[in-house]
Amino acid sequence: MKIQAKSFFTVLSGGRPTIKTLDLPEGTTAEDIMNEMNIDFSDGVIVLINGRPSNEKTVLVEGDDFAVMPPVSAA
Amino acid sequence: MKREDVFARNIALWGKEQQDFLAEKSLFIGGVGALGCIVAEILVRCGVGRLIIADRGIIDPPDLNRQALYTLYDLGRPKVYIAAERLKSLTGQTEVIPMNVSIGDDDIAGVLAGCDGIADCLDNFPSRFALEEAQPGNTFMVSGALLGDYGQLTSVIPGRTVRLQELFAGLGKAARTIPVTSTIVFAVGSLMAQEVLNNLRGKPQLAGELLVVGMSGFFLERIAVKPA
Repeated sequence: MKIQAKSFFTVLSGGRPTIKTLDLPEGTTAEDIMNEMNIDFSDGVIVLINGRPSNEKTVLVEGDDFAVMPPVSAA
Repeated sequence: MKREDVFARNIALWGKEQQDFLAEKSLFIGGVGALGCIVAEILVRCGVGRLIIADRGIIDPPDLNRQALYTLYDLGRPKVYIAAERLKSLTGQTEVIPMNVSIGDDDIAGVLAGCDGIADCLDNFPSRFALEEAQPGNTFMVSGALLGDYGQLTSVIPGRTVRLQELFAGLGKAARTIPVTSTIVFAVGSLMAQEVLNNLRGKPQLAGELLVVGMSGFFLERIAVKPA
């Protein structure tokens, strides 16, 4: 299945978001995609699937729009 | 000093009626650290009538790289009282009420009930969630946060937008020192203050959207966020 994946972690280092179209097996989770994109989410993560808050265990389906952002809490 | 003189340049842009409108507004600012200092200063210079500022922190040396209302001579003193003193002296047109409280531990519901809106300038998720819990249903809350030179902000409107507790589910207090520099603080603080004004005027730009800011790369993007 094809998934459009966007990571904002690269904005942390002054870059643009990383955007990839991934061809993945059925049953792929958000965590699988983050591993595929080499994202270190050990400090937590914000996952949006089709703009809705989700989590690492959420299973994606064909055509989903996946976005991942770092956890941002300081002021 | 006449209000019309102090705000002559504002009135030239948005008119006396709008200036009078802002003078009637009351806002709550949760946290007067980096973002809170900027948001509060801008709102005072815009002519908001009343600000309630809440924080229980003390001014420490690591605050001086980005917390714009404080100086070397304020070290060791409570943030809210110094911030209130500085904010009152900027224009003399805003009533500033300091609350030396910890959001999440102290009851602020009664205070929030008298406010038109809230700025969430807190520095950790549990306190932000506690402020959201206390948010009255008829108010807006502009929430902003930083990491390094990355920032994000959104408007939280009960019953209409995603809640912070949904968006940041499962996230807690950071266990390490979070890097933050002044450039992103001033940029995101300024954007937050603008979004507060937008909400007061009934035209929020970020209700249902997250604005992501990458400072060194001059990156800005609005991302649609829907309730789960």
